[in-house]
Amino acid sequence: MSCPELIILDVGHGNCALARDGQHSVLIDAPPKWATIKRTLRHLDITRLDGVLVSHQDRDHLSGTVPLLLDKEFSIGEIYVNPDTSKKGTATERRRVQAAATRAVQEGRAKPPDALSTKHATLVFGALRIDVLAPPWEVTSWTAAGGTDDSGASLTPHALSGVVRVGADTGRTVLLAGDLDNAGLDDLIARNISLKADWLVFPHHGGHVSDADDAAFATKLCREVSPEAVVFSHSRTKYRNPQPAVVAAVRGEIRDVRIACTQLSRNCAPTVPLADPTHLVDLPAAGRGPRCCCAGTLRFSLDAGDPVDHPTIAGHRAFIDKHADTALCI
Amino acid sequence: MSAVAVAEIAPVGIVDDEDEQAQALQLELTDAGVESHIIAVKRRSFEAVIADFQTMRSGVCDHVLRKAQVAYTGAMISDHCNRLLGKPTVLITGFPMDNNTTIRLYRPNVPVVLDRESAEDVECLLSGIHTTLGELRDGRPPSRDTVRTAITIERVAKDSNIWVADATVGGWEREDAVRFPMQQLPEPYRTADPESAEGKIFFCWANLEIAEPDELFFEHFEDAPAPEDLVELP
Repeated sequence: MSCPELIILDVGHGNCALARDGQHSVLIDAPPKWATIKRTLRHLDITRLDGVLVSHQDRDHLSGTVPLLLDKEFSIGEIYVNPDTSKKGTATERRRVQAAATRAVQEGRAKPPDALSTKHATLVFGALRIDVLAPPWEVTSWTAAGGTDDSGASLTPHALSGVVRVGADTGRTVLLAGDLDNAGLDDLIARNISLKADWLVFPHHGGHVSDADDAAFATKLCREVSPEAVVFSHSRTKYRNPQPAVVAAVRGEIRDVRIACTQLSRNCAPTVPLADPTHLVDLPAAGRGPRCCCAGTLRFSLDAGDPVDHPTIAGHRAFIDKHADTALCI
Repeated sequence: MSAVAVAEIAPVGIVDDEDEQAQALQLELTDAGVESHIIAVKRRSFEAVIADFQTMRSGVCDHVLRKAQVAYTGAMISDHCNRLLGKPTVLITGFPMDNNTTIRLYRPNVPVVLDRESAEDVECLLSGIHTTLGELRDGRPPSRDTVRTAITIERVAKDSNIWVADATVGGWEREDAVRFPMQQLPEPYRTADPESAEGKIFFCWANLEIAEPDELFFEHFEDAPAPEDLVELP
């Protein structure tokens, strides 16, 4: 069995991660860049996903599940979808996912979807262990975004974003925070839920937080997670993430933190490299063709005995030194 | 362009209902050292025009052939030449709005559509023919690869006397609706009762990697599950 790992795909704007242990594979979020996801699955000879988790119902986390569910090349075990349906403008996408899930069930390639919430506190797939930290089942079972939580704080779809921690029997963990906002973070803290993880995939692509000061939110989150590395999954060409205040707060809170962006932010480099980068891992990345990658697709070892992550810090740092004159991360 | 590259595509058949524009295209190609022939189109049958392509190695077709007083379009000729004759044919359009209606239907087999200005650049024109030739030989490039997805019909309307639908597309990066001719849909939405398609979901294959709405196309439509059969989504 190969080493358990989490692959954080460069999908442009959006989030997508693939956890695998050599026998089991779980996809967490599926943005519109289905071609990049599909090429990755093909590259790794994966035709069965034991689990598919959708953190919340924004297009940049959900939309790719439509072609995934309709692709006869793949079968799916469990599907867990965040039950919050209140986000304006996502009803159409949701209906398409429902239709695609139905066809996948009719074609014998998937089971009917279940709710992603703390009701299923830990999902186990072989050596992979996924702790579902949010949304809290008690909240999603009696209210939705637009309502309030126990403390009276108003709930937005991002407050109810799924937050999962992916690990294996062997030790290291990654926190995938979806689009968690300040109200959601406060709720996790109030529930005394530990967010500790070795890596953090920063929520909302490092963009503005709707209900708090960006820097204060980043500081609070990093204090709770204490990661050795923070990943921003974003697109060079859509929005201008990560926000400088967010990166500065992350660096201010965690000494010697490694920061890795999937794509080269326009905040860090006005132009892309003229030559193909050599530090990227041998996996598809949406930014590879247009030379938009910074770290590109990342491979994180879940094995504490073999904690080598790719691209390596040295290779990535050499790229940043050469091509990102105004890098936020160093 | 190398002699080999010219030999692969010459002679080029030119179809245009404007004599002057056909002659301008021919002059362009001649100056580039590429032999071409203007194929007469005025009041001629589709079959007769296609027959003339038998002696060509490639083609360039204007889309709207109104002045030729024919019922077919350049997109139909291009589709036929590419799909059935294996002769790489590029389509030219002076009306960008046609991409949404009569052209999108044929995009699966017409890889290159140029606006009039681009077609006046002979390098661009020849590059388009070679791109098409490459696709006929090697299959679609990744950017035109199709995947099965779901689309939602947001609106139904009549455009240039044909029924069209504005659809949003699952799994595509853009959220805006794209227009396509409803003759692609199964009955009764195709002709019997097009307006009843509004709000419906269909499955089809689409080239979702493409960023430009004009280049998006759909094929192999199928009905989505009936509302009473839908599984529950949490």
